[in-house]
Amino acid sequence: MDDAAIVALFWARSEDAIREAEKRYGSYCAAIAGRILSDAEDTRECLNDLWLAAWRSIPPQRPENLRCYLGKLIRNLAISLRRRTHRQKRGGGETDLVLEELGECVSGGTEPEQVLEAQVLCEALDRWLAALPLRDRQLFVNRYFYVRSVPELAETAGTSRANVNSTLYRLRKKLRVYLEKEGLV
Amino acid sequence: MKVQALFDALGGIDDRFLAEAEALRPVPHKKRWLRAALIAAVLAGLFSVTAYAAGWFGLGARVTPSRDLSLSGILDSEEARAYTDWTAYRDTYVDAFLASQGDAPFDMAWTSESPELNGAAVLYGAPDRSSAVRLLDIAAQHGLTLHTRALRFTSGANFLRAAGIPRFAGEETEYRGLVYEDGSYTAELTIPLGDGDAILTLERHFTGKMQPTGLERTLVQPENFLEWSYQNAHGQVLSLALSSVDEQLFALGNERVPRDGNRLFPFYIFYCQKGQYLTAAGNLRLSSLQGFDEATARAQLETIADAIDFGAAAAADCDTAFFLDFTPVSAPGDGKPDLAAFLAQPEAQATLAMQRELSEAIGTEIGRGMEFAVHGGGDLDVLRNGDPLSGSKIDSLLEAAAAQYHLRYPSQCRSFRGSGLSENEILAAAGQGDFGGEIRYLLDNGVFWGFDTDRNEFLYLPHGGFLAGSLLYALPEAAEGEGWFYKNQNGDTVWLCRATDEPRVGYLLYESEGGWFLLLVNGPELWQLEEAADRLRLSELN
Repeated sequence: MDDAAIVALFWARSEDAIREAEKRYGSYCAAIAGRILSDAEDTRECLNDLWLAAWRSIPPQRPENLRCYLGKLIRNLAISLRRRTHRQKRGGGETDLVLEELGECVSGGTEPEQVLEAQVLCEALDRWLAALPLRDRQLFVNRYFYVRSVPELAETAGTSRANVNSTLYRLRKKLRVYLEKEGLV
Repeated sequence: MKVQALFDALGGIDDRFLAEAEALRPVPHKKRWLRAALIAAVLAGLFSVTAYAAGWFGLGARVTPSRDLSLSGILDSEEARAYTDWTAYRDTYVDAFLASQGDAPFDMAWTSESPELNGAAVLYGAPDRSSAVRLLDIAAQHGLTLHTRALRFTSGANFLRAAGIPRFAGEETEYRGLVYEDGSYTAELTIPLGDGDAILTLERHFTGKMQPTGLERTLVQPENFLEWSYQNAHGQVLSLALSSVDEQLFALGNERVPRDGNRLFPFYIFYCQKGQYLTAAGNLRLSSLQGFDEATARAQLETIADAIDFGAAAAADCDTAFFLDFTPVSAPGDGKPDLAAFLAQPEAQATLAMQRELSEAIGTEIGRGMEFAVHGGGDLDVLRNGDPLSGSKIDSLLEAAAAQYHLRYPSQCRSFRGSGLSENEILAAAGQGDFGGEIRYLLDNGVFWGFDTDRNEFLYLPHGGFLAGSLLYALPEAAEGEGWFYKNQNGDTVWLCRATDEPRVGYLLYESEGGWFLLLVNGPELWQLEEAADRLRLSELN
């Protein structure tokens, strides 16, 4: 069943919508949550929250790309759950590494006036990403949206871990400069 | 701004970037292929029998290890250091070549005059002369010698016989693995225990010999491991090491998903005896609800340690003469299958005839026709890359052939590569049971093909089905060689045949109710053909 048909089921308030969405995108969403949470129980809980959130948000939403829509939804839910439970995986989970790396791009300032509307930052990120070469953009999004590990990225991209690490390092520096220039840091 | 705000904001980026990121693939394609080919080429050596006499390293050269057989002790050994040095060099070497845009290709045709060096280059993955020389240097720097030959066995009986060892982990355990020329081996074990199977690898090493594989543990951090000494049920004193960090919580192909609610914790078991050491490695499963409970984890690992008689695993020496002349457990039986009758079938006739015609037209070698046989829009366009004939010309050739032989011409091809479908979903799409193979392509006339678990290519040709260009290409030569019936361990009777002249290819042929199943076996030895047959459950085919 394609995206449009599944979205139509959501709009028709048919519970088959959840079953079909889970069949089609369950493992994709589980992978995203799993990487962020590093815990099977939390991942399951997060997936339950996802289907409920999807049920509540469609309608009024009518996502054109259901995969991306659910991917974003589960990522946000996983981040919220992670924050709520304050769970830190022993030995350092992938999310810890990602946050540590992204820390290089921000100042860490906490003044209220520096707290940005997420939408403004998001639009800035879109502009920055759009200006990157395709391969750099793919690596960045895989690492910092999908929280994919460096060895996994190296394997997928057919390159060495050192190459992935150096590309990401270069991109983080570039992002820092960009955010500073935009007055967002 | 805090880092969390940035991380959160990344969750709202444009959808197109997400879709685009998932399309991350190796580039350029040629380089990826080359790297894979380089590594595959050297690893393929593990699955083939090379035709030289190996130079054996005598057992007398082995020395009794004096080092501490803990995880740190193993990591600190010359063998582990040499392995780390070699793999670091090899990966950098291959990467440097790939980064050079292919201007300085390896001499893939390189062979040394020394059969020992040739064998070592294959086993350790040295792609050319320069890297082979470096391999020798690294081994010498660490005071080690190299392996020169190995055979891989998927049948437990053949594996144990070649390694010269008894069923050291019980009668019910599944055994398979590699045996090296000096009696070293890598055994892949599935041990049935009360609450599920323990799957682990047990390696037997002799000190003084550089290991080609299996020292990935050099990547582990000893500080994450608990270690203790344990005397198992066989009275052997072992060192047990257990990680408290689960490293493989999510892993399933390219997708990473929760694995049935269990967490996996790496473990190692070390045993040392008379100049050799044995290392068992695997992952302990613990319930995610339970998390890492040290007492439970220790008890589970000790149960596994009890199941293995390390003394028996270390006791026997490989008989090198026997190893060289290895023969299968079974042998060709009476009666030769009538392969000529199969080759006279219109499905086989059409396939072979069109393959010849296509190969001539395209200018490619016989046997490289499979990719031109696929029909159905995008898939055909992709697979036809570099095809000097236009698609329509190929289509018309094939359509005419199908009509001539009264066969069903396919109009669509479904590719399952990267489809995200589970194995069962793919089998259901092909209308087949779990016969032990991975289907890669399915035509709408019922033809499908793919690989078995040992990377042998198979083809299913249903009655009335048509495929131009396929792995049938060498079957006529093989049919003129040796042929015999073989009943595999699942009770299926198959035809096996192999060419007696070069190229020494071997085939398996099975007729089901709906058609024919063919497998082109990597390696022409009798035991290789029979092991390939044993891995299949052909009665599951419709």
